[in-house]
Amino acid sequence: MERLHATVAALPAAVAFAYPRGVPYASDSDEDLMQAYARGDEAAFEVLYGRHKARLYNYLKRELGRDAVRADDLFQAVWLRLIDARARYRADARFSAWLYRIAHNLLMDEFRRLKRAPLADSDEVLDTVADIAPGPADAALAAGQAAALRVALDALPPEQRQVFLLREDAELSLEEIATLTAVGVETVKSRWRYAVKRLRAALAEEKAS
Amino acid sequence: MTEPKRPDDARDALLSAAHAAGRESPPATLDAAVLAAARQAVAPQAVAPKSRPALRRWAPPVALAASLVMGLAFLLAQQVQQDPVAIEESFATEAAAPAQPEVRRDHPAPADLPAAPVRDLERAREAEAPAMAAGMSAAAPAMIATPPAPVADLGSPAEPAYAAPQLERATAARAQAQAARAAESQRARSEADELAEMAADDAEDIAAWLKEIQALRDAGKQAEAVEQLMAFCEAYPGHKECPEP
Repeated sequence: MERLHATVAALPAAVAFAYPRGVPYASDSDEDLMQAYARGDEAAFEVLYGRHKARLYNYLKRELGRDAVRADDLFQAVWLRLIDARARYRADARFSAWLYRIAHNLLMDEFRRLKRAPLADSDEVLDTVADIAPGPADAALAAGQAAALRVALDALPPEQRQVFLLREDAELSLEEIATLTAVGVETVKSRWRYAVKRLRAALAEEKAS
Repeated sequence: MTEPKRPDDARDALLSAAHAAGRESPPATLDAAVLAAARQAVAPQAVAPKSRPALRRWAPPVALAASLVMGLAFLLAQQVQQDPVAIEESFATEAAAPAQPEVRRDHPAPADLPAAPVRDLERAREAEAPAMAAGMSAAAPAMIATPPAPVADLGSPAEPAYAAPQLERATAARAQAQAARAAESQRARSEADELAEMAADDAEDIAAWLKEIQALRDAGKQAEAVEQLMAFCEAYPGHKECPEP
């Protein structure tokens, strides 16, 4: 354990030695990184991927009702499509909005293929509640609030859950979500408010218990 | 990315923290697959080989076909080269053919008699003229038994081709010689048959003529008999019935 601490403590020095001018691309925006990758800089893509992989994977997995296999396939498909379309990327569009537009389109295709609405029905919600167990990160939070939030999130109507996930994971603005989902901004605002209200109530209930 | 703060889309810090804490990362295999695809997409592509000109494109198959043809030709030539042994054997048999008449002399067969030129037959008649004087009956068999001239004496046109070094010429010459030999043999056989018939006819004529002379003598027609005998001796001067010249 002491060795681990020593190694972690030595990391900044090692990074500073390896990169005297700072970690490359650390201060670059997503849009700059994407343009650099489109020019052939594969290291830029690695940074970009590191920034967005967990959020995108989380978004897809929640939208697919925790179907890990489908989430994996779709996650890979999203990035492959992005790679193929790298030459068509324009810097005037926000990278996250572009990435989640690709993800949203593939998700809708997947729902059409599965012939079901992007909603985990009540049985699925109950199943996911039973499957949830606090992970190592959850243990760092007070009294399993993360697990409670997962349950509450799965119980949300799909439209509200989608807005919440796009807001939290993709960090899209409500206008961008409205554009992406092809609904009015006021509708998105309404869904966002309802979602936040329900989730707060779930966390409060968890805190009280 | 910095997020613009708006009153109606303000994020709840507690919710954001709880949501972020529950995030799962994709498996390492997915990371590796995506990064590999990204690297491969921007990796410098190997320059596609330009379409080669037709000559260079067709050179390998043509060379292969030529090699096959040459190989087959070589094999065929080797197989055919074994034939000269057979050819030489047949040549040796044919070269030994002049000795065969010696054997045939021991076992004469009128049908198998080879060709005998007319001049040889006349020479034989001259040689047998004394014998005719001794007795008419022995004359005809003696003429038939005259040894024929060997084929080699007549000169075979294919003989110079035996030594031809080229295989094709040897084969062609051999075929030509065989055809000529067959034709010659056929011709000689027919001539021998003809001569045999002629000799038989002569013997019959001689016998009939002498019988007629004898009948004239028996009939007391001596003058006519002498006249006939003189005519006979002019026709068969060496016959035993004729007086010595």
